[in-house]
Amino acid sequence: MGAVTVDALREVSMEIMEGELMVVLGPSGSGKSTLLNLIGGLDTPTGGRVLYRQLDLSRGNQRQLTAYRRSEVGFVFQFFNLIADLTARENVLAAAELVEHPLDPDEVLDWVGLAERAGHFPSQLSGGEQQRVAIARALVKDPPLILCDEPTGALDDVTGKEVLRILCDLKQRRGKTVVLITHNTAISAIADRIVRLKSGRIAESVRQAAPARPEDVEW
Amino acid sequence: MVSVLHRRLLRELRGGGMSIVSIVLIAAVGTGCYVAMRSAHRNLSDAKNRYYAQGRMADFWIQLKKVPTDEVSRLRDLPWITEIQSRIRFPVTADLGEDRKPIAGLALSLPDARGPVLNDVVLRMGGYFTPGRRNEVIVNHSFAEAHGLKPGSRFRLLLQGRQEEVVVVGTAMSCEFVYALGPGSIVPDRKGFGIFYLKRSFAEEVFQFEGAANELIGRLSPGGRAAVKNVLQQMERMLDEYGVLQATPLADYPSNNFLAQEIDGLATFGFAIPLIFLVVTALVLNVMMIRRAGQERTVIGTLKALGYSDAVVAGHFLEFSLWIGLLGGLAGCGLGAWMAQSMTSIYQRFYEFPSLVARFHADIHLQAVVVAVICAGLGGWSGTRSVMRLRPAEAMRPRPPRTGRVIFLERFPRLWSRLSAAWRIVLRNLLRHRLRSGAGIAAGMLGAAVMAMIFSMAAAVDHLMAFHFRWVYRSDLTLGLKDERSSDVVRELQRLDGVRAAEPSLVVPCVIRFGARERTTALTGITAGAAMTVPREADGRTAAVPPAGLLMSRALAGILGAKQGDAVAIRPLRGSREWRVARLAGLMDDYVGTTIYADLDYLRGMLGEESAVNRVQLALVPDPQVRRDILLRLKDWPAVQDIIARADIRGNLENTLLRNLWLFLSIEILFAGSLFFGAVLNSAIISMTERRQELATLRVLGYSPWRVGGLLARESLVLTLVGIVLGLPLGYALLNQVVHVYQTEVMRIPLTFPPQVWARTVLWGTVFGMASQVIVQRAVHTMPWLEAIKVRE
Repeated sequence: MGAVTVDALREVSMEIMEGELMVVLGPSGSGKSTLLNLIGGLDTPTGGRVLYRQLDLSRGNQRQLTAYRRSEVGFVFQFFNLIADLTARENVLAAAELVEHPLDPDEVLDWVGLAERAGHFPSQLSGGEQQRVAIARALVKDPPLILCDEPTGALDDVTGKEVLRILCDLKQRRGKTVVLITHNTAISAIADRIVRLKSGRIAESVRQAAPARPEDVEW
Repeated sequence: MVSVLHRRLLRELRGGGMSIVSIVLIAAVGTGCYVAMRSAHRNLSDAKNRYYAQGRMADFWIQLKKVPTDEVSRLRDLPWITEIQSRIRFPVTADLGEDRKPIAGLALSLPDARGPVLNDVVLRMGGYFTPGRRNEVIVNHSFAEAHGLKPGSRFRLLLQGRQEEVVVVGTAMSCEFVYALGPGSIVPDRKGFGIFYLKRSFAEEVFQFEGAANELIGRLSPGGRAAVKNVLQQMERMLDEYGVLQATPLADYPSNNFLAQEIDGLATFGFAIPLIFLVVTALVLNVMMIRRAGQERTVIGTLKALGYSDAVVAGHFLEFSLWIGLLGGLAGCGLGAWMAQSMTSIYQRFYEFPSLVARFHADIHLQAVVVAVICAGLGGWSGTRSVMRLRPAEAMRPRPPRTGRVIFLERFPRLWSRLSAAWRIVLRNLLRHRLRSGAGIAAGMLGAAVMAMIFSMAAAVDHLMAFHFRWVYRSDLTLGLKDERSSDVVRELQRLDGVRAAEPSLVVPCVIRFGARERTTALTGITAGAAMTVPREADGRTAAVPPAGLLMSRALAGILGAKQGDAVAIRPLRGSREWRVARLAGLMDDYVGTTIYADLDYLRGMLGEESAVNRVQLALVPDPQVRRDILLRLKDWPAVQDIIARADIRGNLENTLLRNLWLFLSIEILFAGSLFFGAVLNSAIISMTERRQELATLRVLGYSPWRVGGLLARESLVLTLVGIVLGLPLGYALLNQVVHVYQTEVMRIPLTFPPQVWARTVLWGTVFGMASQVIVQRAVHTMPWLEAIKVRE
């Protein structure tokens, strides 16, 4: 068999506004993660352009993309991706050390409600706690953009809602732009804008005038 | 900036457990060997250079029958010669008391008044000769110490048939006797061989050498040193009428030759042995780091996603292996310093230096650590490169499942179907992880090669001992006679109580030439059917002495380029000293010196002396008291110049060389074992970590911990055995190299690789390899398998 080229994303054109919470919805294989990777500077597209303010991410070299990720983006992953050998505080510190003016790691941990658990290793924390550490880690660099890949995917609904509350707070209280990808349609209720992906294309882009509160979301 | 990453690294290293310890162990042994051998090499060569400079070591020795001292001034004008001196040198026997057996020794003359001489003595106790007494003697220090001789002690010397009482004025050492060998020995015997420095005037008187000498020693200009053989040949021609017996350049002078051989050996092995260990370190680390790169994919991706650059992440990753190298290097420095100390103290027993100390050489330690870190860096490089190349988006995705493939053994269904499920799992796993299995096998191979080489060396020494002391030289006592005697002396000796048999022989120094190549050696005439000197082949078969012609050492024939049946020119350095032609009738093997045998009557005919004898070998009744009585009686035989007692030489060898050799070899075997242990352990731990879920599943299926552990044990066993089988030929190649390094005209190591060496290598390689299973099985037994089964891929 010869090699078959599959486009993960095709003819996708979209804008993300500063300070909005965008939810990207779609089933597995719809191209959500690829979109997030492109926005986050983890990957570059084979065609087309990805612009962040004045920076063309699609033409950036590794050094530029690293610098972009370092100062502009905070990532939150489905499986938390905490470094097992570092305590909660050290995981946050690992990100804080990368920027010149980070937030205070202890304050950030306190903000996500983990001040008491700062000295614990990931294996000693619950799933929700681990995800809160991951959020603190994303936040500590004080980046304008927070990208979340299925942040509640590995959590039960109560813990999941708590994580969503923090993400909404990031937008409302700290003015962050939050992009959240999920296959869970219920979560889209909290979004300012919902983008639906299907087979690598945008099937729908809807703006919500009055997003729901995380505690009112049910799944 | 990366302090948190550092903290993580240290935690990882601390938590790395046996897998890290095993690599650090191999690296430590490698660097330890490097530090020990390089330090010992430096200590020994520095001590040698200092001593040679201090004593003004000669560049050549020429032994003659007798030369007027006036002749010496004629030679002084020769180009290349910067200094030349004459002295008197004779083998003697020391008699330290009525009830004590005679001891072989060497008498050397020194000027009556202290002056600048070559091969000068370094006084240790007492002082130089005084003008008052004629019979003063300076005794070599170790002999004096061994016998409690001090300034003022008196004893008797048998000086060429004359008994003289001498009085000790001092004890000393000399750079020409760093490795002082008595007749018939290959290791120094401090108690059984003495060097006695006599006043020149006293030596001239007792040996009847007024205004004459029988040895010339001298120093050459750098150009002369480069062409020493030609210079010596020229001098031999000039001195021919004075009966040149032997001309020896410094390189061939036994003490220097043994010392230089040891120093060269240290240089060679100080490179080769550490290299083997560090190659294995790199191999094992390579496997470990590649596995780590796979295991840490998500961490790598996360760090990159956080904004860490490729170089920082790769550096963090590589640092892990560099730390292992550093830890191994530092541990190796400690081990090496201890080993260098032990080696130097062993050398102190064999080599006599005014100061041989184990110094701390900071540069060698630094080199060792740097080399260990570089090797570790190379080992970690492949894994690091994959970390460097890994794109964050790719790293965040789970790894594609491994491609399951049929292994080649499965193409033989008859064989494959007979294998149990356990063996199928083992073989599939080994063949699917070729890099890891390959590294395990390569480590085992190198371990087996080193081990086989060490066992072969031990076998070679056993063979050498048996060959020399049981097969070839079979007499209890060998008596060297003053000048040639008639055969009557044999009959007289045979009549002594306790003598079972006596055999005459005649040893004549000679020059042998074939084509353009020439060597000075000794030609030994023995009787047909002699039972106390039996020339042999390496495998022990008797090599018959031909009625006419020569039986020559294979080593010597090789040097001359002659083969059996060739006609060689020979010039005995006694009697008429004329060149003759002799047929090379046969070849035999020897390991010490280069011997030529001939039939006693044939040799006598060649010399024109009908019944000459200058050596008698005695077989005694096996009773220590009888042996002692005979030795005491022989002191009063003026014809006897020196006595070699086989049991004493053998005993000395066993007490010195063999004891140290076994200690040394045991340590080396332990080190080679660490290669098996470390590499097999590492491979098993990696296999266990990677297959945690699989092994846990087997537990769920109902496998007992032993059964699960059995899978890992079988894998280790296969790796070990394959490594050993491949390592044996490599060991032979290595041994060949070693034998080559120690191949000189003075001594050779037999190249033996008997089945017991294979058997010992298989046994000990397996023992060390499987010893790692103690740790592996414990880990399997304590594995939290219920947790392992839940682990997310």
